[in-house]
Amino acid sequence: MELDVRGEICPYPMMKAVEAMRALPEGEYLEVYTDHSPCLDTIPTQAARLGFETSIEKIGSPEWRITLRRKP
Amino acid sequence: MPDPRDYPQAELLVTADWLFEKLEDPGLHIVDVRPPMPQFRIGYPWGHIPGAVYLDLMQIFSGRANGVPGTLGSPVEVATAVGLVGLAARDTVVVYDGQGGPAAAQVFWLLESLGFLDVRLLEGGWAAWQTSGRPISMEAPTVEPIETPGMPNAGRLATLDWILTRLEDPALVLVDARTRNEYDSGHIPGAVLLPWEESLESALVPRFRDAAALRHRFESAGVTPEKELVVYCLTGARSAHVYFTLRLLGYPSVRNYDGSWQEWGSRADTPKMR
Repeated sequence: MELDVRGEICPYPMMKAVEAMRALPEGEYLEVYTDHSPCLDTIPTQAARLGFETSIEKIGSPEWRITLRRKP
Repeated sequence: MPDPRDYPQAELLVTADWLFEKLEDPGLHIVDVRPPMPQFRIGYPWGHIPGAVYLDLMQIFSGRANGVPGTLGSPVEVATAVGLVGLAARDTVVVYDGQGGPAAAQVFWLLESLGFLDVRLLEGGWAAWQTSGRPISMEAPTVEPIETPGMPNAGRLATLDWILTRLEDPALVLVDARTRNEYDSGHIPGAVLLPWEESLESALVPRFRDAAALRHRFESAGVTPEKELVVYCLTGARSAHVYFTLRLLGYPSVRNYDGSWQEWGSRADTPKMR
């Protein structure tokens, strides 16, 4: 599933990512699109607390795709 | 039953069970501050605690007071938004977001700074309500707007100028609630790093750590009750969670710096440390 929070600043991308991770069906992963660089720290921190792994890919300047998967 | 975690201001933190028992209480107002997420069908329109009103944070934290995005709107704008959902300073107000996190804490702080005397936070927020199996409503209650919700309490707010004039004061302690990376990239000189989420146990429905553990964490960093405390983060939301935690512990003098690093870090006339 995708969560597009481009144009939004802290704390909303982090809060929305947490809600989306909580609601994510088993077996699915979440892609978060953001242009707010603090998300590169805040979202992985919350993801780790919820048992998710994070990978980050730069897709623009500035724009990132943060992929969140449940740890096996 | 008293909370075994032994908080000095335990009444500030309520449980889903406590709230359910009080749902019919006419003096109680419940405020949902979750940002809507239509794609996931999460947010007020898709289910909320019965009787709760929705407060749109974008209207409150429009940044129009000092031009810093994500921080407070003008006093009139804020008072109007709070009054429109029927909140008055004499009310008991319970605030919740998705998990009892920064958004709810930011509104807790906002209402205290507007002079509200009995504001509380639902521990675990909507996640706690859902898992408690309590009823969910789709209906918005009828509310009577209030013109002047409260008289501002300046003792809850720190501004850039207020901090600048006290930076050398040994009684002042600044607390940075962001992540280690953000702190290392730049912070207010003298600030101690205490990330907001470390007040909570890691769980799907977050719970605060007990008072002894929290007190140890803060006091080890020099954050003690006799100090004048200012908390900040990037936009004043995560720091509001630390503000709430310190209030829960009974710290008497705590201010949230609404402009936070978003303002401080962008100004040429402020000292910074890396």
